Amino acid sequence: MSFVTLDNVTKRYGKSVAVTGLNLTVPAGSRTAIVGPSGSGKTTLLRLIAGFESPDQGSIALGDTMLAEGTMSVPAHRRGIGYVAQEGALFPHLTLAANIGFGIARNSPDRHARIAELMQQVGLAPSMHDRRPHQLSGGQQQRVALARAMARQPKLMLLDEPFSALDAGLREAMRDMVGDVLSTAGITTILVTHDQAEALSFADHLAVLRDGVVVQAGPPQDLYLRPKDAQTARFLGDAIILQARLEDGFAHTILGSVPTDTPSRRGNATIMLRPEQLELTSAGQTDPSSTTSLGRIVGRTFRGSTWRLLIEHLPASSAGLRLPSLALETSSIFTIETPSLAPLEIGATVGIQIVGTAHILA
Amino acid sequence: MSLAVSPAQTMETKRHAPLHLPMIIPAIIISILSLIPLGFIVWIAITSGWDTVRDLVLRPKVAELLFNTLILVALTLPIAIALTVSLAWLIERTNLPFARLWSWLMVAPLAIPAFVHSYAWASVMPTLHGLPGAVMVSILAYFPFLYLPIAAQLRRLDPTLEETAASLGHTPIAIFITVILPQLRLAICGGALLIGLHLLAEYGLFVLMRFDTFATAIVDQFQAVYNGPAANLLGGVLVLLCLVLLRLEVFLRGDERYARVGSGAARHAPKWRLGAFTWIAALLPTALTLLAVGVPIFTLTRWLISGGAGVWRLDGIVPALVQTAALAVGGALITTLAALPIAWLSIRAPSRVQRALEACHYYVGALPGVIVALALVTITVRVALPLYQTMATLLLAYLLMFLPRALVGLRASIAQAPIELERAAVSLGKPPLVAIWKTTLRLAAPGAAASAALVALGIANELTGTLMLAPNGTRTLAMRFWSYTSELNFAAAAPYAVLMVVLSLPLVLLLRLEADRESKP
Repeated sequence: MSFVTLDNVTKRYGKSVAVTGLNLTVPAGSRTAIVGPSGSGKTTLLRLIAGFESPDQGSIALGDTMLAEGTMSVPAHRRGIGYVAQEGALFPHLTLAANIGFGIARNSPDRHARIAELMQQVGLAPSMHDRRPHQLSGGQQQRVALARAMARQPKLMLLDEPFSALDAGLREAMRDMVGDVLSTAGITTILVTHDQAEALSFADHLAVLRDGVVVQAGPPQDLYLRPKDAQTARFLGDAIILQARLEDGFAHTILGSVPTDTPSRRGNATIMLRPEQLELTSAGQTDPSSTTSLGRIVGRTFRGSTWRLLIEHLPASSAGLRLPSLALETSSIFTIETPSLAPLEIGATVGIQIVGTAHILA
Repeated sequence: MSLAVSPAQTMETKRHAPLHLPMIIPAIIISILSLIPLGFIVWIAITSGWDTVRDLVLRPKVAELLFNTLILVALTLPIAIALTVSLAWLIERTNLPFARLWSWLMVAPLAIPAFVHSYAWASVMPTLHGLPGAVMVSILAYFPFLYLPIAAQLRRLDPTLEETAASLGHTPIAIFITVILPQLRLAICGGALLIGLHLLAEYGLFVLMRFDTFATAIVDQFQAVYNGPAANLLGGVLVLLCLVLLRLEVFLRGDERYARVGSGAARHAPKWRLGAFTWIAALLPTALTLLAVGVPIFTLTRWLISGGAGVWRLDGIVPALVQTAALAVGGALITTLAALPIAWLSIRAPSRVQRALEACHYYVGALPGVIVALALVTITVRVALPLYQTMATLLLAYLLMFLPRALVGLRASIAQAPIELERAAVSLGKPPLVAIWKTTLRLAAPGAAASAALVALGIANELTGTLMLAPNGTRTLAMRFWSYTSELNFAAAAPYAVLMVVLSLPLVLLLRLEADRESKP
């Protein structure tokens, strides 16, 4: 069941178009991530849903309620949608508790109990009750912002890059905490981010935004393995993009042959492989009869648990397969991460084996 | 404005203490000089004896003055605050037409000295006097002191806070009260304090409005009986009022931090659409501009026309202009030089001693010019008679009155010169003072010149202290203007008012640019 529906929404700022003819549905109870490079219109999209802006065209609906249609727009304070801004946006003149209680009526009898409950929900110690925002760490500020947004028990929560100001270690912990708290409370959540890793790990529904339109939406795994085009493929992670000839459900490439995810396709096409689909073997162990092709390590970077290897593909001298224009899209060099346990030296020749299936882009 | 100093730096400054000695000694001397007016009041209170105090302070006239002064402050400040907050909000946060023009016009009244505002109203509307006249002209003359910080703060506000409040179900009006107003508190307190201190210190404005305050009563007493105990004791009460005002501001301001939490680049807040209210809203800045800028310009033009060429008597104007320029430039140089040691110390060697010295420098700036003048008159008469009514005493008074003004600009410009240059110069064999002179002061020169200009403009329009202290024969623009106005010869006074306004225009420009720069995120 779709919960938030955006239908053909357009928003301009002067001459520049931020969002154009955008369609998006957010399933009820989902954790939806909207991901896109900066300038793609994702923050505008969030602000349109929150009601801080009204669309020039199109409609926005929440469940059965129409939030914006044509010139009609429900103002933000009547939408009942929770919102957590990039750096928390805590009211600097109020204490932690007053910040959390900002949305709760002052004369509400259970105000204090609610504040205490919310503080506990997001993991803030009761002793911090009277702290001021500037006395809190970045992570604590985000916890307060989340508790404050949850105080009015919204059905929908909007998160505008809430983790980007935190340092790497904290970011992941906060992301998990926020996800858990919101799922437990049963609040549908929309997260906006430019960080694809964050989007992939947070969401159960992902929408990729580019130039003001939704390029592709669906479950994160689907989008990662079956992106619509090369740009989306690269945006969601490292991708190896190859020219291929399709025959009998196989894609024949310079790196060897691999089954495709659309066996019926034939002819020339562009395919995508994720680097983790390439397995390296020491050249000595290579079985010359297999589909393995050869590469040479030309550079490497130590990254702790893995080595990031720069591999140059070696043209297959023995391979009988002569394929037309089967070059790597950019050059014959690509990067792969391998576990650091068995380091490969620069200059070593390796065999390259493809596992899984190739995704046909176009 | 305080600079964070890492432990390593502090240790280093201690080791190089001799470098600071040539600066600390003059700073201490200036601080002692700064304490003269306050010390004078304390000394008066102690030596007068209870009987004199009772006779001169506990009497109906003083009660009346006290009531007048308090009601003046109590009426002027709330009206001015309400007016400027609405104006600043309209101009900064709505789609009011000609916003940029309005934002300049709202600062323009500062170019007109308060007593010229009063002169304009007295001649345009002679029936306007007493409390209503005093309150109205005070608001018109001083509201930019509130407008500048409030508008700057409004520009600086993070719109995300308002959006968050909206997402929490607050209506626009509730957001204004619970989110915007609290963040304007510092700006309102600062501006209101400045206006309050001006209300306590101003003389010319209230004389023309025929409204008695402590400042007018002190000058009257002083002119009747030089160095009389009555004026001095009234001065004591005035100082107490100033201290109460300063404490009140500290109390109301609180010690909270209202800065943005976090760092991201602030967006510009969206502007409210006024729609059908546009023209009603435009009435407010229009009316204020007409009253605060239009009336003085109209009056001056009218007097100039009716006076014709005859009022431009060069034998009066040229000497006044020359004397004013000489006093302004001389006073500005001395004041800037005097502010230099403490400004340098506050950036290069912040310490508890330095902060105490700096507090001395600032305190006098809060005291009305009448007090400084009273103190210097009494001291020169009793202790150093040869200095009585000399240029030296007048310049010292200017120095004490305008020291804080010079200090603010100097500190900012010294802070921009890296200390490494001073160290490099010392390591190349320059003695400490030469090193400072050749590096930091060289780099701080433009800023120092700007703050010296502010001081010079302040001196050029100073009336009260000049009237009380100037040697016989001194005729500044303000004094000439004042004597003609006192004779009700408004036409003859007009050219002097025009010259003072022209001289003050750069001041307004500087203040406005300063406010613009501060409000950049």
